[in-house]
Amino acid sequence: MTEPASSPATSTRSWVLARLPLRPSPVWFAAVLMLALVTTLLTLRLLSPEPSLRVGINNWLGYTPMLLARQQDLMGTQVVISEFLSTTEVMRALENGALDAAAVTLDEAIHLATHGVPITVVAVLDISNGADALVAHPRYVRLNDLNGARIAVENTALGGYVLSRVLEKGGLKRDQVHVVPMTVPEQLAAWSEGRIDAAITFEPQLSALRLAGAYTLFDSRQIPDEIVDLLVLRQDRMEALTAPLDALLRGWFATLVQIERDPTVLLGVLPPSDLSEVDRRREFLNTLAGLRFVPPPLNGDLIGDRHSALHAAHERLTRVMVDQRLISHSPEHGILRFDASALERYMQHQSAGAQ
Amino acid sequence: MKNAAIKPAPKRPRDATRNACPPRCHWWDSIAGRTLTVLLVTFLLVLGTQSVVDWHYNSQRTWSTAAERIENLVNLTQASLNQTISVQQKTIGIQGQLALLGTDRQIRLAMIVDPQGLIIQASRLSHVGSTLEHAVSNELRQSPAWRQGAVPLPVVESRLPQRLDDHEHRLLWLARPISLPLATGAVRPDLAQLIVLADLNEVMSLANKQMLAELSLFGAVGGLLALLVGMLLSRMVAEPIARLLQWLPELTRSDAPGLSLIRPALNEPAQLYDALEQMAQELRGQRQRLEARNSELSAFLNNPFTGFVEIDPDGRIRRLNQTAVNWFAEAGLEAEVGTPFNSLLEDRTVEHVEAQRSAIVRGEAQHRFIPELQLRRADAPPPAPPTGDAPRSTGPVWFELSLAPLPTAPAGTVLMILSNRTEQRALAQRLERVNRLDTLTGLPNREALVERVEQMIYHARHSRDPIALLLLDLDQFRSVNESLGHDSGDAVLAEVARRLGILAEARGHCYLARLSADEFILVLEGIKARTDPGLFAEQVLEAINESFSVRQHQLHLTGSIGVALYPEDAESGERLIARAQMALDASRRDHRNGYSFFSSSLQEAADQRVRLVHDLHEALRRDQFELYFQPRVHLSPPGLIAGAEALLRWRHPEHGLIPPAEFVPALEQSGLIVPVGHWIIERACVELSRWPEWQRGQLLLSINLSPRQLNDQHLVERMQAAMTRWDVDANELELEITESYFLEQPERAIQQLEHLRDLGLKLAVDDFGTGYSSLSYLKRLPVDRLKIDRSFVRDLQEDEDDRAIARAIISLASALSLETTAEGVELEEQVAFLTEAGCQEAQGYLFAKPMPSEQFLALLKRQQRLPVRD
Repeated sequence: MTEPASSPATSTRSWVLARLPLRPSPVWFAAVLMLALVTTLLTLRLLSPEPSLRVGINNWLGYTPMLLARQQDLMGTQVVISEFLSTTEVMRALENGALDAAAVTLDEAIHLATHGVPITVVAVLDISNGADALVAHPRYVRLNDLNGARIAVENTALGGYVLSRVLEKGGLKRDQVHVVPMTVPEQLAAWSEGRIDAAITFEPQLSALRLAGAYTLFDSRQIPDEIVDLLVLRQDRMEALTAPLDALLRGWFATLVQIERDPTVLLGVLPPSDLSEVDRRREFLNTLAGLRFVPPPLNGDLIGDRHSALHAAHERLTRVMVDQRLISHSPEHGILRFDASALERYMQHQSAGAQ
Repeated sequence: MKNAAIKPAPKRPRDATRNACPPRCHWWDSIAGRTLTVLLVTFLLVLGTQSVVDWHYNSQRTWSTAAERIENLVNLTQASLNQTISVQQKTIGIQGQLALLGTDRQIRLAMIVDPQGLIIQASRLSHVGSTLEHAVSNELRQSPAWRQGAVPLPVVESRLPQRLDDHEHRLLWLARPISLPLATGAVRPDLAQLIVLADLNEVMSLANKQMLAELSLFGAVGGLLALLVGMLLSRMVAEPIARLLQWLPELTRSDAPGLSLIRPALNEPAQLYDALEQMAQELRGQRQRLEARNSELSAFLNNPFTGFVEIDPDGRIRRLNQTAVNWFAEAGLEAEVGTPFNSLLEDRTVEHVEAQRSAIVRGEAQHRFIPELQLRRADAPPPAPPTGDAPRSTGPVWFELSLAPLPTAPAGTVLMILSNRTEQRALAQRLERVNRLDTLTGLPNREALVERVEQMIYHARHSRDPIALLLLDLDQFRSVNESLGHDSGDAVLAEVARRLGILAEARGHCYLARLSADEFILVLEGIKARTDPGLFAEQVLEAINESFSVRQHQLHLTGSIGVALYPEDAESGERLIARAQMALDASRRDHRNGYSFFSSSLQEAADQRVRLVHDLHEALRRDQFELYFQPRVHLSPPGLIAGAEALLRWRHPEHGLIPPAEFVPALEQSGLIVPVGHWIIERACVELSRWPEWQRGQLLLSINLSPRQLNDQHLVERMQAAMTRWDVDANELELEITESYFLEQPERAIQQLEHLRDLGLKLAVDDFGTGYSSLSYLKRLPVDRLKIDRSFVRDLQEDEDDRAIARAIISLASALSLETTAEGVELEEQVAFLTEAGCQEAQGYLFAKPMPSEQFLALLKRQQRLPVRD
């Protein structure tokens, strides 16, 4: 030890302190306290049970990437996917709080919101890219030709919406067409019996109608980003479920990459059907062709940008639903809340991961 | 000292003291470390025990809780399903309930299974239509549990509720019977079951994780607690101790930093610090004092005048100071620690020194002293002294050596204190040559003699050999001086010394010295027989008796010798000489030219003399002296009283009248004769004043004067005063002086006598003829009368020689116009001869004995003429 030029007392003191085991200094105390704090926090985090994000879906092909993600364990155990046969049950479960999130169409979302279920739209799952269409007898060449035609329309928001868009595009008024209310599965029979001239339909009935000789006059490709399926989340669970929500999105988008490469991976998770394998495959492909999955940047834009097509569709649909008396009233700018934060987090995470 | 013991120990390098913590010192050897370790180990033991217990219990509890919860859910669903089916008779709502059941995280699969094992409806739609076995294998294909072995399945045909706890795979099976509507086409609808597969892996692992986290938290908290305790201990206990440890080596340094700088805040260590600080201050003070004392001591020890040498019990040098080193170096000897001390000494002194040292070592003596010690002569010439001075004389180096035990050193260590006596010795030798040697004879003088005799006695004390001391006195040497002059006397003394020297040389072991003018001393060692000293004394006397040839004169001398022996007669040199003196006196009294040994009777005689002198003092004081008067008569006309001689008598209160021969010599020797002489004069004047008036003037009273009295300066004054006081005329008194007096101091005697005669007093020479008076003096002496000594008168009637002498004296006196008085006349024949020879007066028993004053007065009054018998 070299002798410092300081006073002997100081040097003695420094020397002594330098050799003390467990020499207590402020830094030491701070380090120990920090260690204690970190340990406690970590333990608390470990001890607190991870909340589950219960997501309800129906058997719509546009939602099946979630099943694939579950099968491949891409979302972790926090995300629980529940498959329902009907959307109604999904919505009921969401309303009851038996579900935290659900995959629903835009109109279903508006419906839920107007019925007081506190939901927020966090992502666009898929966009109808021709899956929804108006098919008509070959004698109708243009939409305008539909004046006076009998159009089968499901008495749903979607049906109403597509009709309103068709009329708008065709420059027709509501009363210029004859609306025949019926469910979509009923349309093929009505078409065969000649009870309708046109039908607002969607896959897989769309393909069936086309096989039966109907032509497509209008499909959702002409109103891009307007007919969408959304992931909604109960607002009261939003904060607690940030982590599983992120996991869900990660799994979702990861699956989309696989599907883009090989769409048939989805076949494995499809529910069994009575169709032959060939038909089933064809139907699957047709349906898939009418769908468009939305990559994260566009997804974020749609949710986050108040002037996006989604927001416009939201307002328009709301009006339609009010018109149709599906809902009683609506605020001026629509009833739904949109929250792009989860998507932004995902994109940040991706860019961080890319780096 | 050369050794480091006196010097302050060299300070260790500062860095060395800094290493307070030795290399093997680890942190866990510290208080804090130990506490920490013990706490941690204890804590971990407790934790380990607890975790083992908890693990099992927690697993069971978690399992049962989860299973219970799921079972409840299933039971509810079963009830709900049964109700739904019974009300709606449809299957559409069944799937919804299964899906809801599936929202539970643990429920992997909820399904309705018919008795064939076909899945009618399921929470996961992809399994609808497949068999239970198939669905389960699909579902669990990717889970590790499945691969490990076959999963047990519930019995599909059962109508009873089932529960399968598959702990191995952490799977829980629950089966509940369901009544299905007949419309579904089941073969045996009543046998359908709600089967739920719950996967408890997550719950269990979560529980395990939780417990692990719990334990980790406890462990971490416990560890931190231990760490905190350790740190606190370190701060409160270890740190003050460590500071102290650092500070302690510098404790006694004068510039040590004060402890207050690092004084801890807590009471106990602070008190310890305060106490140590106080102690340190005291120590510093002590150290300063010690250092001061050390430097003083060092100066004292390193003074250039004293050499200190410590000798260990083996006789080797243990340490020595620089002075001693230098001295040894001067003698050409190399002395250092470990050198045998005896190797530095001259061979013949080794034995002596060794004897003294062993006496100290054995504890027989606390101190020994060797006055002279000589160092061994170096074989090689000594190296140049370190001071660079000119080389000193290479003569022997002498030391005075004191030996003393060294109490603080190991037993048997002796401290030798050396004083360099070389120069002193040289000086002393020079001085001795000048002072101690008699310049005339070259012999040692009295001082040297005494010292030498003391030394001889010192050595004899060990050797037990007797020593004889012979004291030789030359008889009548004064007469030689007087008759032949001092030069001749000196020559005689030198010759005597030479002869004695030859004798001493011949005998060996004989030491010769001159004690005083004519007294020589011979000290004999190595005496074999009692007769040795006697024989030697005779040899000495023979040597003295041989004639001396001095300035054409042939002299014959005699001597007397007194002999005293050590150790019989005396233990010290001075006493030995005194005893020899007594023996010499005795010898002189008894016989000249002889020798006497000292004996106890001589001592007694001496004692007696002392007593006598004392008594004489008393006698004078108590007026015990008396004057007797012996008449003197005219021989022609015969019988007429011419006067009287006053004679001193002592009437002792116990012994009666004591004859003068017994006390007069003592009076002479003690000097009492002077006051007594004065008393006589006074008394004589008193008596004379009482004589009949008509007879005064015709009678003469004689008073004896001793030589010492004559030397008294006040004699003349006293004489005159007495005469005046008692109205005595000077011509009534006659003073008698012995012949020897003139011989001793003729010039002074003549002077004094002339003074007396100037007073008108008559003077007579007493005991004439016994001395060796030269006739030339006689002529010069202012005397009026000669008194013929009784030794000549006694045999006058028959000894022709005496008659011749008497006649010669009388004729000599008449030739010198002196009167003569014959003493000791006892016979008529003597009177006749004396009368015929021309002697004027006589005194003796024939006429009258000495008589008291009253009797003499009566005689004077009764008859003037004393009868002369015919």
